[in-house]
Amino acid sequence: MNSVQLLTDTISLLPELVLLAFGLLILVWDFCFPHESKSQLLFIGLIGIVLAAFFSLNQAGVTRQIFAHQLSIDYLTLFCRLIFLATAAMVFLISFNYLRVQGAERGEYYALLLFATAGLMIMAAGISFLSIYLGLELTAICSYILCGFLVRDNRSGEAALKYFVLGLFASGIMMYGISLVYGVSGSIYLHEIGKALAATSNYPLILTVGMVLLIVGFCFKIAAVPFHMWAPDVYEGAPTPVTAFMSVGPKIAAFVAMLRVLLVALFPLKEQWGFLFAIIAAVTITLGNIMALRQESVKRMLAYSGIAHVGYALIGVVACVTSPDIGAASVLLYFMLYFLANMGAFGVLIFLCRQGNIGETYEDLKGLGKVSPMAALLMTVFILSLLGIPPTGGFIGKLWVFAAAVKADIIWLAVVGLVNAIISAYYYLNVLVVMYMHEPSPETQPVNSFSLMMALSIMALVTIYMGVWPNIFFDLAQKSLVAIL
Amino acid sequence: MLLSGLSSYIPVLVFMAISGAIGFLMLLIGRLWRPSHPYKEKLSPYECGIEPEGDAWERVIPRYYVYAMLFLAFDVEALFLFPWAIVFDKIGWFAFIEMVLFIIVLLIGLVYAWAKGALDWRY
Repeated sequence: MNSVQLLTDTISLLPELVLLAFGLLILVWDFCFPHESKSQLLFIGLIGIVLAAFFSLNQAGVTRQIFAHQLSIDYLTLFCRLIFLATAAMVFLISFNYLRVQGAERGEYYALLLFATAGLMIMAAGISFLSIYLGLELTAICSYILCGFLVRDNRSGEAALKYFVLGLFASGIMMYGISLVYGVSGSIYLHEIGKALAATSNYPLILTVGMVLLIVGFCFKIAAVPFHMWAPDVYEGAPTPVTAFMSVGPKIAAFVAMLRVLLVALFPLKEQWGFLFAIIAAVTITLGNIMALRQESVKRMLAYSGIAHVGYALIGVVACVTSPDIGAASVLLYFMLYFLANMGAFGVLIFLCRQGNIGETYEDLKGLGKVSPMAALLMTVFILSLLGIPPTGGFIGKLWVFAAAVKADIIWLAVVGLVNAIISAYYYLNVLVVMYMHEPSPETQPVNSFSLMMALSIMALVTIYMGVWPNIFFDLAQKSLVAIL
Repeated sequence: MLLSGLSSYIPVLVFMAISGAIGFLMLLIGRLWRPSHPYKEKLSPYECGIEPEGDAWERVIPRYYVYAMLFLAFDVEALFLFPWAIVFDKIGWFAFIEMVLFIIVLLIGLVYAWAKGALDWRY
């Protein structure tokens, strides 16, 4: 390892480094040039994100492993980097007004978001347990702080503490699983573990235990049943933009890391994890949807619907057992669509948030169609996409996941998914009913925010675009999987 | 080569079992052997006879954790500086620049903590 190689490796890591550098810059800028309004910091952060996206795109087509096989730069990494940068940019835009209204405008918020995004990118690029864990913890620690960012709000503190304690617990379990897999296979590098496992067919029980613990850790991060209990409470208490971020970024990163681990390292054990995930997927979809039916708060409803969506994506993971290419591609596609719709739905809730009112109950949404037709229209697009109605993107996502399940001959899982999609129509359409068919209540007072409206409009347009011309996105998802298949 | 090293951990397991058993046995023997005459004065927190005042559940101010964190950052910095200094003549300017960047990042942390008042001791 000479300095030339180190230098080229460093250049490959520029997107992450740029984010970290801009995070530090925001911290320093905030106390060097203190301002009431933090709009400067917003712009600095957005410049950092655009620069990072530029450096990511600069490396399109490069396939190499950097830093002694710790990280892999490939199409999947590029794909994830762009999704995470888009997430960060959208969260920046939807946060600005929210923080001002809540009186929590502080520079650290933007810096922490950038650090968390860098962690997500490292996690998705990781091809050794070490780097995956490093990225996971970087994101997690930033999210703990972001959850408790509204220091005067008790619920925010509660959410942070809950997330912190349970997150540490899950990390510990995952670490234990990693240590067992390492003990059996003698490596922390995914491809070497895969090679060691493929060389024999006599697997000790302890390997299965390690795999299960690893999966438990991942299931906590993606909030799959039965490790979902933290999600609704944390999502409800955390500031809404942070909820939007957490319900998307860490989930996608954990899914990508999980796909890498399952398809590269643990593929010889596919029968075992396939069975496990089939059960988890069925239970997650059903429980998520049934619990979402009976929520009073829209935020909690979206949290449970997020759990159900993780279940749909897990169907794609199960399909990987027999046809990894289609299964994994459907997972990526699903998340590309889910991320826009889910973040958008949380974003519309931010419209309703003002001083002293979190804006998260159905009461707040009443008659939104009359008071603010634009916000209601955006919400309609996102809700229809979450429900999976054409011509929105969500339809394509569900279609591909179910198609992958049929192709992989696990039709019963596809049927469970379909039945649940019909159940979910009730609570999704309920939002539309409340918005359009109820008289406005005094609670319905959307705020005016240009940045929020802009971000939401972009997300809604892309959601519809994906639904009408999905081919580009499917090609993208399939191309990015070449690296791990 | 699956499991090649795993069987060599058996001595560790045996060691853990024996050490656990020794600890347990010592407590058990003491328990069986010793006389037991508890009375009020003996059970009080201070056996010297001073009356305990107030509740043990008091709020303490864990202010020092900020200092501990700052200390830790620079402790780790020193840890990284030692191996770097030892092989300095072999690795050249690239590593020098890297180390400068590393120290600058830590320095930003210190300046940040300072500017935010972490170094003022307030009650």
